[in-house]
Amino acid sequence: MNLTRIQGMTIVGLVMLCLSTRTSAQRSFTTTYDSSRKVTLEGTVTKLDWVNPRAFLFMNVKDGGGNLANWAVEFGSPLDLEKNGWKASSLKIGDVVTIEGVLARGDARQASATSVVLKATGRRLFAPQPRRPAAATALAPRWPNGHVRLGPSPGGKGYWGVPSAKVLVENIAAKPAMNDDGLLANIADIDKVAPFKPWARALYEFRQRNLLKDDPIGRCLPPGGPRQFQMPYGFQFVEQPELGRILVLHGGGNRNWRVINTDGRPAAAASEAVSSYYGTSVGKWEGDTLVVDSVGFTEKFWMTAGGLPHTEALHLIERFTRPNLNTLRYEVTVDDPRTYTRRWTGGWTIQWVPDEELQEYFCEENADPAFNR
Amino acid sequence: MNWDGDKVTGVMNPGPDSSPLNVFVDYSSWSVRLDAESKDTAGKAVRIEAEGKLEDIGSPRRKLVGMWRQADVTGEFKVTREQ
Repeated sequence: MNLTRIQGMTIVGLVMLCLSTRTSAQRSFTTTYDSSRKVTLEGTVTKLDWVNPRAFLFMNVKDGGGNLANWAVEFGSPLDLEKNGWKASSLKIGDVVTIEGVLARGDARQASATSVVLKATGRRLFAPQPRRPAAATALAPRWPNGHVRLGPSPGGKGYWGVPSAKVLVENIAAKPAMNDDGLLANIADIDKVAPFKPWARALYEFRQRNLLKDDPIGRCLPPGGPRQFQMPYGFQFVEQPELGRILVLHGGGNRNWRVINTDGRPAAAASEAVSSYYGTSVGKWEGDTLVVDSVGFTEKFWMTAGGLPHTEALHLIERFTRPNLNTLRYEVTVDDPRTYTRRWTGGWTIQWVPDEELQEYFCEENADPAFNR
Repeated sequence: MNWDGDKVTGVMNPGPDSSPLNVFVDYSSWSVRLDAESKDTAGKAVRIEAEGKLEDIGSPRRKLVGMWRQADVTGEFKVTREQ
């Protein structure tokens, strides 16, 4: 079968649907797709699966030998597509389309689309657009007591949604090349990621060589630690000074939340904290920076894409600074003496998405039920 | 057993007849060896050894699977992490 150009098409209907294979909605792109295998598919749409968070279309495609096969083509979040003008009715069963994209790993007849063109009109229905960060012009909003607001200005709305880095690595001059899922371009660069102890280095290498397929995110588990600030659908702070806490609402973390206590209580002792995905957090302001001390983490999550290990001894010190309306600076110090040879620090910035709310995202909605929790 | 990120230390048969447990982990092969010196019911020194391999490294419910030996008695073991 020629996978670089598969032409021709006959409408067969849904009978071939059972031949296509879908992988989990939540697995990382790297685990599911092979970016080096480009594909162009031309065929007739047989089904549209317009389900948040990942929409699929199914199409019958004739291969070079004249045989028909049904393909599953993933083409993005319906909510994101709607923002770009796509509607559920933009494509109909029976339409002939040309898809450009990349193939899934293995033999599954599945692709991720980078463009969808309607053959009858030549109209490009879909091409993912990177979100443009807002310009950093206005001052950060403040509370009456002078503290910087981490959320919207009074009467406004928005959320934090465009991280400058998708992966946590140590802040050193020679940053290793890796993709957005944290897969190193060169496995020999492991020691540029973090100061691993031998077991942690070996485990990180195992996860990398395994193409990140054991990522707990793939089982719809929460993105604990720094990863919660790198998820695709952003996050929001809800500051409740009268209750002595700040809630962090996660758009991409299965729409759950984390609590940062700001009521003056002392930092928790790791030995007494109940292990959890988001830990036990205590925050205090140091000038315009919110400093959050957290312990009490379970080992069941990856604290960033790419598979950085940690233990229940993990202690995080996070620093949040909003230098202007549109920018949040995030810095985290990782202190886990069982996993790393010393404390180390990484960070990135996140851009404000004005005038929008966090969108709905539930990983389980179209996750693969075959996952063993 | 206790693990500090570098070494695993432990005690076999905690109590009046306890003995220290030696644990060796090879991260390149994920193999684990445990041994301890103890005494049998007649007070004779006896060596207890176990060798295994970590399986399902990527899973929270990873396992240690292998064989144990005490004098001329041997057997299999499997330990699965639950939490």
